[in-house]
Amino acid sequence: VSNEFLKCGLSDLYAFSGKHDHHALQRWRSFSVEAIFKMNHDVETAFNYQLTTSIANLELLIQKIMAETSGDFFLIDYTEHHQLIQIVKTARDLSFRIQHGIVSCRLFVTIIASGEVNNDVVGTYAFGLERLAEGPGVRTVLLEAKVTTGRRLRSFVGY
Amino acid sequence: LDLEAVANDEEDQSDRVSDLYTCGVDDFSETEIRDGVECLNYLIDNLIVGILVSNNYFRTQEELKAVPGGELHEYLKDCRLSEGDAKELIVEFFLRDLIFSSLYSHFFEGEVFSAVGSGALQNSLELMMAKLVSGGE
Repeated sequence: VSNEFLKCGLSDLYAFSGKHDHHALQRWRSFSVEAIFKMNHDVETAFNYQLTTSIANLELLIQKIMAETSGDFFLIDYTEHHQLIQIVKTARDLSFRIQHGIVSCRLFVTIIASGEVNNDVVGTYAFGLERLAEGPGVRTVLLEAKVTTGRRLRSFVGY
Repeated sequence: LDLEAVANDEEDQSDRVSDLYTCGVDDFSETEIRDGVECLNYLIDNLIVGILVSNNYFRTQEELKAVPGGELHEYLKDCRLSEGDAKELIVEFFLRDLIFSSLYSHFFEGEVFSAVGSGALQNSLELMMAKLVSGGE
């Protein structure tokens, strides 16, 4: 995506909206994301690279944790590899939908539950979803992210 | 009935619909997006359960010291953990966090834009949006 395209978008935006308009800003983001996904071959290539790299990295790290039982045994076989590809594609699709298809507000996929920021969070257990509405910028939790805390973990393992 | 007013109102509405820049209609509902997030969580659950069920052998504590990671990694390499349920639990949490944080940084991290390709492009877009929000200042 060239800078010229983005600059055109900016000047168009001012011409159309004439002022700071929430929907216009969201539309500009939507158009930009659509253009990036559909028109720029380099970025599409980057996405494919991103997809391959993230799967390879995940596989590598999983293999570092789980021990192989024999030389012929593969930790990440066809089923797991296929599942990983599906997961990454679903994540990418969701990311695009949120940025391109939602203009009335802003949605965020979260990995830390609201109010957990200062607690002893050691990891994420499930994604959450939050909405940032136009105006005062209040965040509303639509789906609570699940986290693992050190306290919870210590209680499980009997420390 | 003020026909002229009705005609003007219809014209205004028509303008609003055709003017994509000010159209605030979403392509997807929040429910659809929330379902999408839940679907992603479910797919990751399936993967983790599949890996844990089919692979009951973990690396030794010594070998795990070489695995990169955050706070969960400290638990993972703790010598007090046996090969039993506790270790499996820690491995499960570790794998989950690994996948969630990896997907988050690749596809969802960012103030306004995410997963747009390079970090430089994302920074440019974020800067432009910040400029727009501040009214071009």
